[in-house]
Amino acid sequence: MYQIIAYIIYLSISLITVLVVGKNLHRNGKEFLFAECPDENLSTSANNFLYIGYCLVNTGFAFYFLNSADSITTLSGIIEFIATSEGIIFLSLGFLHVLNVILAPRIISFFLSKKLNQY
Amino acid sequence: MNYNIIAYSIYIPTTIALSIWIAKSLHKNTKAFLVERFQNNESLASSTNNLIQTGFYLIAFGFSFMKMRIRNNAHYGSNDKLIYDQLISSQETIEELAMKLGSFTLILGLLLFFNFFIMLLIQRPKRQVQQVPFTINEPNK
Repeated sequence: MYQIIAYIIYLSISLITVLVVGKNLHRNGKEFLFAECPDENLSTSANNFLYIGYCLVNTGFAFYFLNSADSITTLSGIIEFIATSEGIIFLSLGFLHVLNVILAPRIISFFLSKKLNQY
Repeated sequence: MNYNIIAYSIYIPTTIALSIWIAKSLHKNTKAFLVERFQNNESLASSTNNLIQTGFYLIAFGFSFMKMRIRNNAHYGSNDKLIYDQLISSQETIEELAMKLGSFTLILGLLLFFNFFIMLLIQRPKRQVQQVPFTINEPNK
């Protein structure tokens, strides 16, 4: 019974986190990408692509890591399980996000550089 | 109510409050750097600032939760059985909490410098911001 409660709390927390953080990034990233490429349509669609990829990767990650090594029998076991696995999820989200912030403008400007040089 | 749950209920609010405080002060102070970097484009600077803050929150909470679990405290119980991962006295609770909170504060300090490093790695936009040229209307002769 404890196991099921722990799983339900873990899944709801991680999915809500993925969605809320993704919304936040989608809103703030629009301006960030628009600074790179002059075309509004292009930057909006790149932003949507990044959002969809982010949601897919992290939802998959959250479901994939849903297992506990030993059976949960106490309240402190629930807290430990949820905290440890949420920590792994948050850390991976954070590193992925930092990588995205650093690399996405570079990739876009790499693909656009040839096109911009023509003008 | 065992000592583990007391330790967790002190550890979680402390780390969350610490990381929110550091993130707030970073958010306030990073903006000037970003405005300088993005050639006085205020809205781009504030949205990039929000992105950096989100990353900071995620990594700080991730570290704090991942390192939370209490380990390696083996004791003999009442009927000579070994008990693992349990605190048995208030002294041990304080020692364990001090070690965990200290390591988390160290990680936060490293993360702050990591944040500066990220700010350097973020690319200046290639596209120049359209600025209205400052001209003086010369009187027609």
